[in-house]
Amino acid sequence: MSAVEGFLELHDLDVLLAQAGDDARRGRLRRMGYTVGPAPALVRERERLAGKLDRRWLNLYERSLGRYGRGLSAVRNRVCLGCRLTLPTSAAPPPGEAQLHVCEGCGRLLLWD
Amino acid sequence: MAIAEISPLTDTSLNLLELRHKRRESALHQLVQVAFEHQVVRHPALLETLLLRRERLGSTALGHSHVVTGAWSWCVRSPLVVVGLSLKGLDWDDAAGDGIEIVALVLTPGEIAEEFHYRRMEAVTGALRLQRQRQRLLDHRDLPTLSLLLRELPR
Repeated sequence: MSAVEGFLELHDLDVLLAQAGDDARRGRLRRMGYTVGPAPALVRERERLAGKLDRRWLNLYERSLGRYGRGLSAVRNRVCLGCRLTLPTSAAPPPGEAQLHVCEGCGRLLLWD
Repeated sequence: MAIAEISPLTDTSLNLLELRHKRRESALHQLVQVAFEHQVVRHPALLETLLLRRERLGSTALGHSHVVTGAWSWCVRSPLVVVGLSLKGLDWDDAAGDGIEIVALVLTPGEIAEEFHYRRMEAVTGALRLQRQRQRLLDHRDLPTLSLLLRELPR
């Protein structure tokens, strides 16, 4: 698993945790007919995954998660979709390579498309 | 002047397919692969993991032979609803235990607001809730019928 995939998975876990921990979201899912499972299993899974990730990137991710509610952002046409900052050409990873970068504007980890 | 209703044949936000396998994991794999072939998904294996994890939290079978699952994720590039139909019925973890005939996968990109994903999920669950709606889809098994059924879906 690459670092990018690790953080994508972590983000998805955080979304599920937010669903499980929020009454409004849970209520909405229940009205659709779903049962939302227990959060402790998710917390354990998150801890297990976070343990495998680079501490430096994890700190940056968690800082953005705490500040904006989301630690990742996509980049399209060199624009960070989180803060709309146009990123320098030099910030782009080589074609075909998935690398982690930090947005200079908002500090989120960037996913280059 | 004659007025004809034109079916949205060019609608690329919907897809309909026949599910070949009986197992839940295989069905999800087939749905994700179709989305990947349409270049809607970035990391298909990761998306499958996410969907299976969602199933472990609580089955997405809504009873009465249908499932609506979905993901609001950065693994998704553009909104897509893939609907799979099964002739034999799928082994899913459903309370009714009557075999799943319709599986809907609602994909919403992570860059779009979460509210939009919930509205899409509500539109799909609402459209498939009624038996006669599901039966119409099972009888016709075509994209125009699906488009008509999901006409309220936010795109």
